[in-house]
Amino acid sequence: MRASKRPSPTGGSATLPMAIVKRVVYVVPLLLGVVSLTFVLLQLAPGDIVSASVGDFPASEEYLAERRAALGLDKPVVLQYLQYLGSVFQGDLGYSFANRQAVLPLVLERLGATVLLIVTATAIAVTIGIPAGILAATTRRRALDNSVNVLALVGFSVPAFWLAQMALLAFALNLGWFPTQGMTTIGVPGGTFASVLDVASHLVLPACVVAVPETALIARITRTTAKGVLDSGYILTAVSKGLTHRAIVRRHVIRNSLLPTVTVLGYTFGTLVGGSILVETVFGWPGMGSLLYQAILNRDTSVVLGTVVVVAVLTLLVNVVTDIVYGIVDPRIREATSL
Amino acid sequence: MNTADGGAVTASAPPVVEVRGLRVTISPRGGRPVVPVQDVDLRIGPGEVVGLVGESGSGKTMLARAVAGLLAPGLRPRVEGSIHVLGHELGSASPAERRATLRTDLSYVFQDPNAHLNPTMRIGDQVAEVAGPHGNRVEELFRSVGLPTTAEFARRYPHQLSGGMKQRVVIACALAKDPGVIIADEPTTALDVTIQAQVLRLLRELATTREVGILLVSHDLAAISQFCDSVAVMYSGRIVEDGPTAAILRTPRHPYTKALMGALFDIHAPERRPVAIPGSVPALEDPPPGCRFGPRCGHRTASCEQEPELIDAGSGRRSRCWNWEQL
Amino acid sequence: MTVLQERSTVAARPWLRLPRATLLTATAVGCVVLFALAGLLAPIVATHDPFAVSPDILQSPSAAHLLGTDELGKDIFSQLVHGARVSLTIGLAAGLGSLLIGLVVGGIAGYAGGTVDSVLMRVAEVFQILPAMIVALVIVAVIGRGTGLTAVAVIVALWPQAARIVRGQYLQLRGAEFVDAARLARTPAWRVISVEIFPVAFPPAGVQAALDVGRGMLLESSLSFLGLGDPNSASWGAVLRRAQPYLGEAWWFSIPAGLCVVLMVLSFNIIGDAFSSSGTAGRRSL
Repeated sequence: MRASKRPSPTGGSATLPMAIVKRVVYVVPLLLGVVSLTFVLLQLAPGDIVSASVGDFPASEEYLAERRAALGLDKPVVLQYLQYLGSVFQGDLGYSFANRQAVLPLVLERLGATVLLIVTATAIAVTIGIPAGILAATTRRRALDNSVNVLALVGFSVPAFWLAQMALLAFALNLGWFPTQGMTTIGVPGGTFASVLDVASHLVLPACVVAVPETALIARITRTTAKGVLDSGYILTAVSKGLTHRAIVRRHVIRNSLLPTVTVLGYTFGTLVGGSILVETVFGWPGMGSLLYQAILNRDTSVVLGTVVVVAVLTLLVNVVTDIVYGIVDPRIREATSL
Repeated sequence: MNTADGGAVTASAPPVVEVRGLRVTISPRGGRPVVPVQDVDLRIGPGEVVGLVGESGSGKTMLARAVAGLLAPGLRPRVEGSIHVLGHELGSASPAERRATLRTDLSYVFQDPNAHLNPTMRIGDQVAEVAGPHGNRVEELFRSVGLPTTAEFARRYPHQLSGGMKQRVVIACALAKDPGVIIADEPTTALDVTIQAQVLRLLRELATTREVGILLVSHDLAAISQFCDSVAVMYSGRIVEDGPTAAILRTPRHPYTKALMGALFDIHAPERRPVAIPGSVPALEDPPPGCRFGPRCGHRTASCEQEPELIDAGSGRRSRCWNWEQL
Repeated sequence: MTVLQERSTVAARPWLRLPRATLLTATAVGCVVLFALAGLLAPIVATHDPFAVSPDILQSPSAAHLLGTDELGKDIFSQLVHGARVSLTIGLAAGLGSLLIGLVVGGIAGYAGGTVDSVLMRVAEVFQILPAMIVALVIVAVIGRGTGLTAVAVIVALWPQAARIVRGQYLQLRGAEFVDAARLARTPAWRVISVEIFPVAFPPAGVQAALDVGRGMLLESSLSFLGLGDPNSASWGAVLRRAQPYLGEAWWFSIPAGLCVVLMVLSFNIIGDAFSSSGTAGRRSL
């Protein structure tokens, strides 16, 4: 690679606001795609779109008629589709008869618990995964590298719900260290220090379980990135400077492996939500996963699809934010990863 | 050819690098072991610039890396012979001893400054990292390689610099330890042509003013002829001819050197068309029997069935050709 | 480094490089074979009818019931043997299905480029925004339950990864010299794709297929765990679902079934990993 082929340090990349606009424009068709997907699912569901979204719950005939009229079920599918799109983009995700509540606030109400779970899990995964990955990549002992690699593969292979069951069995039922179900203990007053501790003790097990595949993922990404860094010219330069193995790892390898790894974190949000559905179900954690599961049991389709739309919007939001953050930290990261 | 006079001074002083009978064997995983460097003797005096020329695949980079102890462990290299650098025997040295030499006495300048500077580290820090707390100050080092000495400049990242500036930073890194030896492996290949001469001139100047012995690895015969006191020509893992630059380039005593010269465009004789060397460098796995250059040589005789040693060709020159006198 | 780089480009590119047989990969293959045999020969291997209810409820392992019985007195060992069938069926369907879709969609996108490429990749991205778990879950939850539907749901959830990989390979190879040469020789597009590009693009897609088998099995067990699997089959996930209330009392109910899932998925992950890393040569300087 010749110097002249590289973008000049001053020009080249677009300004930040432009980049943000570009990202947002890019996201709109994706969102449209997700909503279209839910519409297709509604069409494929047994019964018409309204009875499907209402599910098994007894709804008033007036409401059904009102919905049918609103969606124009007598009209061609294309028009129904447009109407569906219109209502979703206005924030109308339908009504849950199981919960006697509009879907959007119902889902948003559960958002906090899920985000708390995911953020804690990510923190755990980063704390363990990054050092493990660096260690595996830089150690001279092949056995250690292989062990980290195999452990990571195991982490990918364990079904989250079973791991949750085993954690429940070992640490809650047998050892009694943590509570088994829910997010709070009834009777502990809210807003106090005691209530924070209470939530924390409920959080430990589910967060650890959600963290397992994420830790495996981060460890592997860090390992691969760090191995790439080790292959790069500036590490050879560091060796030629007469630096010790430790100094090279500390000053050159860790830094350059960290930046790309951390940016990957943003893109794993969706996977974490997927994993947390099962874990929330086992631990009775009152997040979106539990809501989704209850909705599936109740055949409460409008909640099921509403959750899908909310998860998609959130994932896209996190991705856009990640991209923008990446853009800010940019040229250095781009240089570090492209070499 | 303006520097040939430097050679006389250095001949008497003890060399900073003395390599004898060097042989490198590499055994990459999943491949047969091969010998990219064999039977190499090399001497560099203080303040002397020795050019090492050869086509790619001739083993010159392997030789340079072996001298510095920087062969990639993935190649599982085995180095035999003696490598003497400023009084230390590196051929049989432990990794720690070799690191100590790299720490204080020997610097290596790589081909591509874009790849060999850490993109996330400020350039000043990358230089200071070598200098250590008691070493040269970053500003002085930057001054000596012709870079701005402001604190603002030292805080820049490599991507904010041009290619030539980056290579100057690399050279500043190389100077920071006050080395007795610098090995520069194609230091200008990755740079724009206009910058190449500047960087080479800088190296030449440093050799003279700081008494540093420099091994300049290059495939560019023109550059070598301008900046080196003596030359070693490498072919298929062996040195086929060495001696003072001016003499070698004026009257090559090995058909390969002669062919290399013939492949060059001469600005003083533009009517003479450069002639390509027929064939290509033999594969390491499958070397030809007898003289390695035999299959591509126009002066081939029956004696070439047997590989020649380096033969003394008078006035400090050696040639690995049975027929050197006929050239 | 010059010498090394030249050497690596000279090396011929075999169709699919076999990984060095390590103890680990050998064990993984052995494990898969064992489960496959158990699944294939389920009626012979199983000691009981997996659906036969008996009055011996929640019995610990014994000679009569190798892994004990569940809350309805059904033999757990026999259920697990039959469960291998379900797991393998869905897993292989997921691997082959996403490989096939991946080769077709990724191949078209990568070879055609331009608008076709960006439209197809946007579609893939729509499926990737949503976690695979949610895609599969929602399809089954809304449309209905059954082995066929589970397979479809799992394939729909998993195909984009394979498609992206194939597309990436095609994009890289589109400009490659040997492909250009074939084009200049007026070789028809389908021949270029199938004869020149496919053999080189296949290995990474094959690795992804092995990983997708594992991912498909995980998804299947998760769906069954949530009660959304085929109600008429004995799935490991379904066993674990029914074990949930008895975690404390009956370890034989939950632990063996979970280990089955782990071993099976892990084996496919190890095999995929062995293939994917078999081509990488280290040129590290540290």
